[in-house]
Amino acid sequence: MADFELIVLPAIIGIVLWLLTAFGVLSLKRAGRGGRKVDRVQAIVFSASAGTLGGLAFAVGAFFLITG
Amino acid sequence: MGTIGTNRRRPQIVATAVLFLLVAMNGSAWDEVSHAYIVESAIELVQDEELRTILSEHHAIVRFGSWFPDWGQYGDHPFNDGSHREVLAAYFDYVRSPQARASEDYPQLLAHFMGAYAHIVQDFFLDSTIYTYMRELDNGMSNDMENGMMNIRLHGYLTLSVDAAYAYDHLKRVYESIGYFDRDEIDPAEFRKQIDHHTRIQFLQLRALKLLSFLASDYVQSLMPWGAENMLDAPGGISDNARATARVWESLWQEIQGREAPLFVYSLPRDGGVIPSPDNESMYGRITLVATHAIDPAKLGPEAITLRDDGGRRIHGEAGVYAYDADGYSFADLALQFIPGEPLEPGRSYTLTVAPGEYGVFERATTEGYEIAFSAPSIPDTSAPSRRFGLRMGIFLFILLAALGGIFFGLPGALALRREAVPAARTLAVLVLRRSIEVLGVAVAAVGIVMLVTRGRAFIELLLDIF
Repeated sequence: MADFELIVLPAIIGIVLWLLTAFGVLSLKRAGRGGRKVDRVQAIVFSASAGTLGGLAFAVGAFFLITG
Repeated sequence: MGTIGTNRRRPQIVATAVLFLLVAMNGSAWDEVSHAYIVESAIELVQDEELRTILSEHHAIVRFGSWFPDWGQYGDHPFNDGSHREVLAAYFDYVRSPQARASEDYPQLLAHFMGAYAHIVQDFFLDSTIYTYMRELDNGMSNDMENGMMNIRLHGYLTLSVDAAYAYDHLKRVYESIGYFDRDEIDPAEFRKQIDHHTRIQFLQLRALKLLSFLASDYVQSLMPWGAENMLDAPGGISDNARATARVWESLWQEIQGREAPLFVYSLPRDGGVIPSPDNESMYGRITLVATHAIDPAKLGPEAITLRDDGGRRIHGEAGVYAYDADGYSFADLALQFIPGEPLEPGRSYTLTVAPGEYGVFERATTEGYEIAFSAPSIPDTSAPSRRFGLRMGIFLFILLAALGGIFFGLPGALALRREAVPAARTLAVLVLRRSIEVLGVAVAAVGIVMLVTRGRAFIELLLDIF
């Protein structure tokens, strides 16, 4: 039962969060060694967090897909 | 001609947002997943070959039928528990009608009806036995949501799925026959849409319950160790419910075929068995009889039920119908109980007799008499091994909150790197905004750490308190 709310929506949220991860990584890449160190650290935390939360969203969707 | 159709599901984003706020299993003593599991088990216990064949061939419909009585109890709640009996009694009349019998999908209709009827049998039998006994033993914790959370994971129902299948046209006639359309409880023009909508909410709630069961059922088990240990095989538990369901089905089937059928079909204690407790103040010290049709307590005279010990002495007591719904909707139900006026003597034998008579809300609820013999045990063993409360919910909440906090904390830095080429507006307002977002992120992450350390206990208790 591929329901929108419980499977598709978590997947969409997961994709959005992984796009945010990509945004953070690209920001870091673009800044290179430039930019303030604190900003680089924050960008790393941002990317890692968005990636993790995206993974959690996919995991919840997968849970509903498997359990039916 | 009625048809059994497949439920159409429409996306409802709003429903997702409120999913976890709607998870209360109001009105369903068993959660729907457990109902579905019990009817599946009950089919194998049916002794009538023809009936068993019908139910086996359409077991998916029986399974979904077991959800049916709760369809109107979610969302804007057009029904309550009191409607269970009224609708099911009308449904029984309908499946025996010439119109229903002539329909092409009669076996499917019958399967749906049997599933639906099983639901109320199980609700009444559960509540009048182990459900209340668990409350006596396990700190009064047992309720619908907690039982569901516990059962789903404990007994492997996580992957049990149900497909919606309604006999819309047939059901419309059933509701029509008892005036639901006149009372504005259902809009006849919107009947199918309305029933689909509520069923969808039902599905969402049950899936949320599965997730909660996966994450937090060990907490409930740690609070209800006796229930967790005994829910499957204890008197009035899952296996007992399956047996009672099969007996009620067989009796209904006999009536549908125009044959005489017993009114009382199952009991706790069973004939020749042992009552679970000699304590007359305990729910397990009551004698519970399962009837096929609703019993009216007003028709139970002083001589309707008698209990005698093996010396012939009469033990007076109180006979009544278990009040399934504390709000008073269920003035007549399927669980007839006798409460002995004194404790039973361990080791003695007793005989409970129901005198022939007409005790039902409807004329069909008559009996030519019913009798069971049983013995009283010594004090029952209520011990149960303690259960550990695990880390799942704590880890889940930690990942959720720590990652959310990390996004807030890191966002200003990620944005600042993108604006490197542009002179940043280092105004006081921007700095305050940046610090505020960072502090918010740290605070959210800190709550996540607290949840990890406490294993999410506060969040689970909040859910249990609300629902």
